[in-house]
Amino acid sequence: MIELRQLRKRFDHADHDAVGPLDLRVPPGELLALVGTSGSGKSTTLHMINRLVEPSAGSVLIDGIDISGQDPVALRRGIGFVFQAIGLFAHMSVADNIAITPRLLRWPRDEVAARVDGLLELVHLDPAIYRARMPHQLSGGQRQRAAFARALAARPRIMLMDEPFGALDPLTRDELSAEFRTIHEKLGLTSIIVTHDMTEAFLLADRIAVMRAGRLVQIGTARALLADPADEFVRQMVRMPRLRAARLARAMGEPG
Amino acid sequence: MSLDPRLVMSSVIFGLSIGGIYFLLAIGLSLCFGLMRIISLDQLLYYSIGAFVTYSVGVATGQFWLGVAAGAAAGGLASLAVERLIFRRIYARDPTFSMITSFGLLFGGIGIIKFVWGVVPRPVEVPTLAQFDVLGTQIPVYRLIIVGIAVVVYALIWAFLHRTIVGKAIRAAIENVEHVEGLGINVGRLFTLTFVIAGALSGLAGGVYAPLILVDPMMGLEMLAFVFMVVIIGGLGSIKGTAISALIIGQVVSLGSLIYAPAAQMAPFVIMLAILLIRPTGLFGVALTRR
Repeated sequence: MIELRQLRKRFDHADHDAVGPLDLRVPPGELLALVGTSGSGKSTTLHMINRLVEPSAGSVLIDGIDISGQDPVALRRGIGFVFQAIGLFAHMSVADNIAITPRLLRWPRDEVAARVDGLLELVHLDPAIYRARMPHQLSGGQRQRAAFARALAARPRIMLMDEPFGALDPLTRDELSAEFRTIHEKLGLTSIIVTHDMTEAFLLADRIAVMRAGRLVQIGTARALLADPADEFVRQMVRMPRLRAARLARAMGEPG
Repeated sequence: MSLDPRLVMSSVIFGLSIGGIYFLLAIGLSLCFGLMRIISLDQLLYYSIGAFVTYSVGVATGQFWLGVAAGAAAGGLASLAVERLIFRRIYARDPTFSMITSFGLLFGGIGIIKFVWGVVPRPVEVPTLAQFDVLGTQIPVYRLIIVGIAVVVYALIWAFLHRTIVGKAIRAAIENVEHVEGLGINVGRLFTLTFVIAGALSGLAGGVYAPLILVDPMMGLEMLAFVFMVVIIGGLGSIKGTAISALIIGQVVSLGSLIYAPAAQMAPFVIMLAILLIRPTGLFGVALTRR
């Protein structure tokens, strides 16, 4: 369970809060999409959950425990984080990238090797082929698969993802997001995914939290948001996938 | 102008050995910037401490190499204390802040050295007076030992950064510190380790160089400009660049004074300016920006 209580962030020299006050509860096993336009504070919110950004006020609780009293390093080990820019380390093989945290934690060598292979299989990369590859030898989708595997290496129970599919082509994007949903369920994770793509949020998430100007505008299932949008902004956001589908249908229907 | 080839040969060896010292000093500065984005001029303090400890241990025990080892250890310990007490608190700030802080540390440290060892320059005996003959020129063996030490340190640092998981994590953090932090890796520990390695290498440089100069409290300041140039020419954060740059500056200083002494002091600056005009990040470095 992830719980944000009156969470706020104001950056140095800023004259308004980038986030908050924000209250949010993500129950165990949920996959929540945090949706909003650029600059709505969704990424900052995500970063406050693993203390890459420290809040100005309020608190984050994980399983009922305030994280501000925890060692940030230990905290982050229990949370898988996938960055917007994929961020595999360029000078390390795929196996080294995935194994870096377990190896620094001095896991036994064979356990690390087994973990790497297991994770590569989980993300559908054949270990025999991809273990020794360097990031520049992978396609964008393969890199993001490896980045998922790396985020899962230390057996986190929570996954935070900052626009993980943003840099991928639409086909790979759909494929990977569906696969992530499967992984999320298989491992019993509690996940938050930041995205500005409402279609992706609809397809992937259990609930959707819409943010604007650092505040939570509405939270609910796709159905609830569509049925009863809190305001015009949410209405426009949730209509977007349908509008696009309709435009697409029109475009396809028109004689060429 | 005709130059005596024997003078050129001995000058080249001199350049290599001084280049080796520059390298030992600059590599720490360069790694500290690459990883922590700090400008650690206090490395020159650990250099002086290394030289003084080498002197004192040498006098007390008669063992020069024991003194050098103690000097390197003292440099490492001093840097550990400084990292824990001071730098840890300012990593998040702008690099200029660390530059000013480290400059203050350097001067404060010089004061402490003067208090402990006094202001009289101290001679350190050369561990071997052996010479060998290259094309009719007598070359002191000790100069080659310095070059050898620099080469070994280069190899060890390279192996550490490329072959060990901790070294790989340091390189990863040079690439993107937030990504490393996000994986639950203790970046603070990587910072401390890097800073202590830098301090120990600076101490080593001071100890090794001590027999060729007089050990005095201001010796770090005399080195400052050259080391700074080596780091900037090589590119911050790059070991290869630092090594190449140290070689270049070593030869420029050494051959320059052979060809036309008044120019020898100026030439490295001219080269630095020329390289920065062509490549603002130095030969191999990362851009000097705040993260």
